[in-house]
Amino acid sequence: MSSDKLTIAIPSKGRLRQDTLDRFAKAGLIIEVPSDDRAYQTVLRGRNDVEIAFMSASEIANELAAGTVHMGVTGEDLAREKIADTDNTVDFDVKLGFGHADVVLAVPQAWVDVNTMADLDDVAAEYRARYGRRLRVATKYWQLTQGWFGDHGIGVYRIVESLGATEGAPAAGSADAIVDITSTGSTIRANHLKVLHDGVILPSQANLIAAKPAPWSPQTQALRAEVVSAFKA
Amino acid sequence: MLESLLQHLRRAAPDPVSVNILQPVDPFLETAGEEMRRRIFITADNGGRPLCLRPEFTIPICLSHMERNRTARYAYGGTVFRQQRAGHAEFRQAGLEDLGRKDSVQADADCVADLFAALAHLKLTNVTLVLGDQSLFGAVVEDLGLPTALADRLTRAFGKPDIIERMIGSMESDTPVAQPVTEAEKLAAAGERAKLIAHVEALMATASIAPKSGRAPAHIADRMIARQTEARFRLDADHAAMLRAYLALSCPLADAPALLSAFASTHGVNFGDGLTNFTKRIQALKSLDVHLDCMTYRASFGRNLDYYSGLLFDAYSGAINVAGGGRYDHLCTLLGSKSPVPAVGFSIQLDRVVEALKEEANR
Repeated sequence: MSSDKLTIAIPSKGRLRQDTLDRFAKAGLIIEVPSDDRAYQTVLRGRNDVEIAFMSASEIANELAAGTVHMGVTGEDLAREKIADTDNTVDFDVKLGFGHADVVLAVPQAWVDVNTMADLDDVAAEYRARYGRRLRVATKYWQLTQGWFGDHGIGVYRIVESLGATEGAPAAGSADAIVDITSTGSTIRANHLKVLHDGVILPSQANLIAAKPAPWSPQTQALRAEVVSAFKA
Repeated sequence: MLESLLQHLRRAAPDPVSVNILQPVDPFLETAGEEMRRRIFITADNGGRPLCLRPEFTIPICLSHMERNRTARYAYGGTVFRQQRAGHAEFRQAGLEDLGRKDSVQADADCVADLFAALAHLKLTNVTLVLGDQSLFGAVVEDLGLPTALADRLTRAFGKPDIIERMIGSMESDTPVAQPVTEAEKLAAAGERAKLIAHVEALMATASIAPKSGRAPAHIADRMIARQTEARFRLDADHAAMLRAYLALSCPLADAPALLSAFASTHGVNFGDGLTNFTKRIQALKSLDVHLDCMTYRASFGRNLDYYSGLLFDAYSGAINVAGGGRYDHLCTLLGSKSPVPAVGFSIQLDRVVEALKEEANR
């Protein structure tokens, strides 16, 4: 990274990539799409001082944490999950208005007596005595789950790492409840689960995020301000 | 410093115990919960069994004690490993565990006396102690006449003042009870237990959740029915004021029995054995020649872990928290002991002691 050029990482694949290109274009920032689909670097049209790097969304969160890119586009869920001490490490500069999804806590619909986190607290406390083990929560979102349970004073539960389809864990018997991301809730309902009334842990969307640990110079700070104001115009 | 302290502690706690640096992870997570996970260093052996660098000594000592099943006093000391936001991850810790002794009043007093002797051995002169009691809070909660679930919820939150205040607020507020809408709510409102169980079973079958894999349909139904009583329950202003007044109590330890008795008669609270034992414990401390004037009783002082059961304390030198401990009668049971094991102990943070000694030298 040279000190006078601003590097922005954007998603390399799928819907997120297209939405990002469209949203940037709407802000008057045209990303030159490389003729080779697998190319991972390009520029903004008419600008030689802004570099665009294509990466996977979760890689972008890691690069922001390390400060190896100045800015990046990724979901707030991934940023909060992957970047330690999030608010002191990155700035959420622009909410981009796409990639909407919520990280939610869901339990089986058969748990007719559980609608709130307070209910879940009661249930978690009885698990050990009644069933000889702690309540198990399947998730990919370890940090968000630990933070959320901690905020609600629930310490007696276990996280079960989920690598595949988290929403299937209760039926598979590998967990009792889940923390997962959902945009419409249809997958949750299809798996006979329900989101708790106060179970939205994080309403997430794609954000343009700035990395505090990046090697900022007066030039790159000015470029950052320029890019951010283009989105707000 | 560690070696000399260990020798000192072993005079009062001679039973031998050794704690490996590498420990199985599960006992820590099962007892201290997920909060522990972000603070420990986890690794695995070749067979994929998860291990961790010991984050503390108490749990491994309890596990090894449970195999022996008798009364014992153990001294321990060494490095513990904990992840922190910044700075060191290795800390030197030493302490004492008193396991299996039936006379809990005497065991508690001995434990506090041994802590003071150990801190004096380390040449700390200006030590103060903040002391609380989980069982007194339990007695106050019992006196409120709350539905069981609400009482349990409040007891679990002991040591988390903001969460307790939120709970008091919500019990006070007069939110109207919602009309039953769903099938389950209607069955619960009508007290149709058998039909409600069948309804839950049907929902489980639809979701292909095996009825034995987790919560039993009967438990779900019973809780659903009990919840109606909880929803209708309102904490009256007098009881709410009493609870808040109790949590605000703080005084020199020597004055605490009188203050608590006065509180009991003003508010009509029955502390029962809790206050008797509390008072006996203070007598026992006096006969051990421990100076009570550096000790403060604080009613709200607690730890948010479900294995603590009675006495709780933190020791300070100035503003530095150099040691802490308490009674944890539920821990061995959580670790799988078939019979309950009375337990009390303390741990001293040696790195903080070093820091405190420097501060004392500068004063």
